[in-house]
Amino acid sequence: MPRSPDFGGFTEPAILILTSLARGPAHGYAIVRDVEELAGVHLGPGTLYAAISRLEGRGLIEALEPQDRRRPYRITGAGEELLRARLRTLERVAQVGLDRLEPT
Amino acid sequence: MRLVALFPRSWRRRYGEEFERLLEETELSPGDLLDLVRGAWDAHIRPQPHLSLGGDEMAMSLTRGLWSAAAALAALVLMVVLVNVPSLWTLSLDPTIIGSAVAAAIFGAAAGALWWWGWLQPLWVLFALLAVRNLELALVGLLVTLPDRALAPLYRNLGPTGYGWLPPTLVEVARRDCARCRSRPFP
Repeated sequence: MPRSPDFGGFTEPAILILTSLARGPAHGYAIVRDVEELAGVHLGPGTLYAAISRLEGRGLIEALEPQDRRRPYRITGAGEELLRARLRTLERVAQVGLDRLEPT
Repeated sequence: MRLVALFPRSWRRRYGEEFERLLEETELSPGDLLDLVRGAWDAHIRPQPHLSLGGDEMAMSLTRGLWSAAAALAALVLMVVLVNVPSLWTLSLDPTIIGSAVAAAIFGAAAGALWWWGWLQPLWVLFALLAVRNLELALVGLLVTLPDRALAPLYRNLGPTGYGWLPPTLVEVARRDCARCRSRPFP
């Protein structure tokens, strides 16, 4: 099975951040809150910005003009494409896992 | 302390302001602080290509890096001189200890400077390790020779006729210990 493009480390936080940004631009604090509500996962400040830096460097998100020292980020077309591919893979894995857990 | 100072300069220039804003909005737990340190470490050892310095800044950093390397080399030369030239033993401390302490200070300063400028990451880690190693040598040397130097004032007051008031057993102990006292042999 061919390897899909990666996020350069911090894969799980990267997927959560991209998923959060899929509903619209958001700054760091808003992403943290949204991910907590969405997945029950707390992203620490170091993890958050390590993932943001990688995503921005790979052109998967882009920075917008800062407002009151908060800089919003927006998912790019490449980011949407990669997120969709990753989520479909995860969906397949989840389905197979659930099927295998069913009593035969 | 500004926690953002833990990150490399190029990283701070791009994300510093918004990161500080995030920290102001967040009630940091001990876990968050550890996470922040981990993030800073990651930013140092895996610098992202889009954060690389521009041409002028790179030249300036190179110049500063070379000065830091020259300072480290000077520390090495100074250490060798202090250890090997007895006429420079102007202090009562063992010259090896002085040399190690001086080297630790200069390596530490060089490591701190490179870390602050956020460049030459492998070099500042090397300098930091050398600083720690030399500090360790100095401390161990200090601990090993401490008994001799603590007894030195006693040795100075002990002449052939000057120790009659001391118990004989203590005089014997002082005589034996003075064999190890390099700076002032027992009279």
